[in-house]
Amino acid sequence: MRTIPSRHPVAAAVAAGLVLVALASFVPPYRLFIVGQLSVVVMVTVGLAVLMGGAGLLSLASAAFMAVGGYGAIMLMIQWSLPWFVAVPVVVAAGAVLGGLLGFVTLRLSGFYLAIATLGFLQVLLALLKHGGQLTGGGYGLVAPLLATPGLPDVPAEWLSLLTLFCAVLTVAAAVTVTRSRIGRAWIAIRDNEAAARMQGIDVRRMKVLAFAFTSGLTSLAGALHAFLLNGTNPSTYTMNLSIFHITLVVVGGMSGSIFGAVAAPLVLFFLPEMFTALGEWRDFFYGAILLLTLVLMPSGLSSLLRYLPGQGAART
Amino acid sequence: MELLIGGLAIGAVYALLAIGIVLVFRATGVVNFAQGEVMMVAAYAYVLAAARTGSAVLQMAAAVGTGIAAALLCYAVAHLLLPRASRLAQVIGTIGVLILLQAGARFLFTDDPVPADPWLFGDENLLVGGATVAVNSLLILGITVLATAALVWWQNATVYGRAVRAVAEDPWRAALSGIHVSSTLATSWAVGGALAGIAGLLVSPVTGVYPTMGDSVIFPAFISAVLGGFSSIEGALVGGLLLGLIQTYAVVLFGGSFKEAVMFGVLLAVLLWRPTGLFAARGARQV
Repeated sequence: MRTIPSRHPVAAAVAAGLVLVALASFVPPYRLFIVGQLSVVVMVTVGLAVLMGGAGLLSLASAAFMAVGGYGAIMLMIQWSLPWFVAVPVVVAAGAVLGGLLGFVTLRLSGFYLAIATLGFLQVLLALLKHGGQLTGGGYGLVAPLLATPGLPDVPAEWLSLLTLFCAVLTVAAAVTVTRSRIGRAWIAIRDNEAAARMQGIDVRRMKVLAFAFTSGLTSLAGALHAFLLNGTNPSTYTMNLSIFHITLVVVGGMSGSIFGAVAAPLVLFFLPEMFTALGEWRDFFYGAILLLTLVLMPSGLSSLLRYLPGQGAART
Repeated sequence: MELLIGGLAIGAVYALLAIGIVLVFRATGVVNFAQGEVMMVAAYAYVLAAARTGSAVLQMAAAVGTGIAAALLCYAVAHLLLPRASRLAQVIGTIGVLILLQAGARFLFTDDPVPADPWLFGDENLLVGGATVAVNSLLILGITVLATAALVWWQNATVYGRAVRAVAEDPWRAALSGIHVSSTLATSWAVGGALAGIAGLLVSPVTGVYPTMGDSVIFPAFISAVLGGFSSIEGALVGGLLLGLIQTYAVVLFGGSFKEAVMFGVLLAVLLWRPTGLFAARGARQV
């Protein structure tokens, strides 16, 4: 197994993030917005890949936790006038706790109850957001307040994209670290054979709840940044189709918990349709077909490409 | 009385879908997320047929036939295209079918709901015990109960039905006793599709027909199946009817915005206290 090329993974991740941000700051502003958007999608996909690939749990709630992050952050800023850098950690923690609770309730049962419960969670949340009146802005959603930072001049909009990119890098680093840790190995053991994992002394339920909390926290973070990037939230953004889109990305990246695949899939699927500009009406078809084709032809997704890289003889499965 | 019949009629539609989901899950272990889309496709088939022919039999045949065809598509994806894939991959395969069917419907018919006339009777009302009741609601209820009864009889009394049950219990031993396993599995999917087709036929005059109509019924259908323990046809029927009643009275008591929240509450309560369903029978599957 490859080790992280530094004894200080945090320092290495921060350094890598800063380098990427420095590179990205040369991107023209209108493209930078796309960089920010892609970073959000990468964060969600990485989180979901940990849950689906690493722990073998299917969740349809990624859109719901993006809504928790987006609505939560903006509501905290409006209602309690918290600054954004306090609101974001609060909603990340809230998302993690909420996800853990949802997992705790459903994981006593077999896997698909979780999928059903997550679908329900999404629908309840959407209904409440649409009927939340002033608090949630009803069918129109909320407009994000200005992201003022005390002691600093107002940040230009481009900085938000760079911040998102930086968070995405940290997310990837965190996911890599966790999946290679004791916890990540426990998840893989549970995915491959739950009974055997239990015999090894792994607390299966605790690990599954942990996986769900981890993913939900990351998704909430992505949701908060997404809402800032778009200057607000709209309930029609967070539909089941968004969740299905995220699942498609994870499948294309590879359902083996590969972080590489989870980063590569959004990039590939973003640039592929650019090549077929005539796609137009057929875009949904395109994603459905890609999903099925990947399942049939390339079950381990883009992550199987890693095998062809030098120095990756013992690719992670 | 209107509420009672109305609630039961909504529940009957949930039950029809839930029974199809349970049939397939019991036989194959795959949870079919595309069941709502199977219903949607059948509903479009009914609308198209109703525009061309006045014959109630032909309209029914169009809806049921299309439902079966769509369900067999799901079968083909989950079992023929992904024969050795994990359950998770097969379930995601049904999600793939969901995207394709929805995108196809959106492409052919746009997002605007298509209105549909009630099957057989039209917009008539009946006076029952001093209350006016839509004939269509009674029709939905009657057909659902009849279809379930027929299905239970078929499962218990005919050779084919017993083969389906045998394969569900143990495919390997069923194969040893000379049952053609894959065609039996396909039968389970097809019967589920036929029920979804009936649901599409019956629900389209109430809700109209639109590409995402499956999204709004799939979650209640799942809850109905959970209420029934996810393993019994009768349980799914009772679960669906019960959920329809709960939903209707919840809307009356708390207002429409809490419909989903009440349903979710029901789901969590059942999962926490009676994970084997409300009517756990002997030999219920360990979940």
